[in-house]
Amino acid sequence: MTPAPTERTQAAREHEPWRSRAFGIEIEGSFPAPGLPPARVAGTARPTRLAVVPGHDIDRRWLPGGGQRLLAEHFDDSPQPARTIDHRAGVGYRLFARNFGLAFVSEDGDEVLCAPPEDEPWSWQRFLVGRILPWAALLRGRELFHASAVTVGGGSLAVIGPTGAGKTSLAAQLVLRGAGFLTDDVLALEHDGTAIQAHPGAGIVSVRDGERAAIAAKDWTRLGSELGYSGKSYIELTREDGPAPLRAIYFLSRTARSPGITAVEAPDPRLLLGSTFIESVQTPARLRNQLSLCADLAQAVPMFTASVTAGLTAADLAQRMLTHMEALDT
Amino acid sequence: MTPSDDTLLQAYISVPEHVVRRRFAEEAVALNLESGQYHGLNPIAAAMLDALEAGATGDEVARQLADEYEQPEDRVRTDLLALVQALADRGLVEVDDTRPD
Repeated sequence: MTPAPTERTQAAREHEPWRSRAFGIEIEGSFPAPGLPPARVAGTARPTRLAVVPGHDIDRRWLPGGGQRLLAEHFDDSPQPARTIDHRAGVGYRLFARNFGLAFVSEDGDEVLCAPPEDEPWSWQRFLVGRILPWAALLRGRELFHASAVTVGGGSLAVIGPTGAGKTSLAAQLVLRGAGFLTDDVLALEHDGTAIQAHPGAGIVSVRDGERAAIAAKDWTRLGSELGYSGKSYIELTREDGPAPLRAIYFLSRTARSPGITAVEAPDPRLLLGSTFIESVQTPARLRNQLSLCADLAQAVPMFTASVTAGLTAADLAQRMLTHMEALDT
Repeated sequence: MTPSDDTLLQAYISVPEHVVRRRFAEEAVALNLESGQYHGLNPIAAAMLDALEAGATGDEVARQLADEYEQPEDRVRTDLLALVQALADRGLVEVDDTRPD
């Protein structure tokens, strides 16, 4: 039976090739990918090609020979790990996450294959944008940090902190106050010879229930469109299309004695090196790039501690940071 | 000091190709690309390593830094020896008894 025109159009649209940009790399795919909007200006760099394939296609490429297990994480009593990462020299990386599926990233980051479970795109693609694409970006020379970032006044600011520190809440509040959204949780940086550029990631944030309750309904709809809920609310936001020079880094701290923003005069190298993302890739090229970028950051980008104390909301801290950034400019 | 300590201080130190160094605000960090290990160097240690890599012997560096920082030469020599031994143990420097070209 011939599909009705609207069905055929929608089906065709879902397989139309698209080109986007995230984590400092050009990306080409042909499946629905919320959070990866088409690039407004076509790039000239070689894209990383994304494809959705059956799991046995990935394993056929991987076997025989297996590879070296780099990571196996258990989150419960199951004998099977919830997440694994394997590496095969000259071939690439095999990443598995329970409930999110299997993925392959080629050694040079040029090709990504995903074998997701039957699930909504926004749901299984949490793995794609949270781990797989950053992995490809790393292999293609970008350095990644556990950070959120927004643009303010032509530049960008990054918020670094561990999981649960409040990066997402702060990013959402900054966006509600006029900042442009760059990325949540994973930030790709690159020294372009003149400045350190902060690249946009995926245009998705995951907001905890407590922070959602703190955002007024009218602001919630202004923030973006809700994709779904899975322990947190997943929102698709309008995202910057290109990179912005990094003008400040704020380290979120819940242990500082007094509230507010204080300058970090001599950043501890461990603070920066420990904030990078993806520890499993330890190639000489990556390690060299990581050290170099962290040293460049320490010398070129002002750094501050933003203390999160009881009673200080993400909204309050966002306003303080914007005021602080304005003062930096004058 | 033992005779081996004297020999070490009269030797020439080089940084192998698999070691990269970068300066941060107050510290320097040396990275051994073969082991993936990072090693922090305070400003004095970084200055010592720079002078050694430039071709001076340990004795020469100790004299220079003792003068620069107005510290007893014996004390600087002891610290320098400890630094060189630690760096050599971690594969961050190589020791040779001939002056490099």
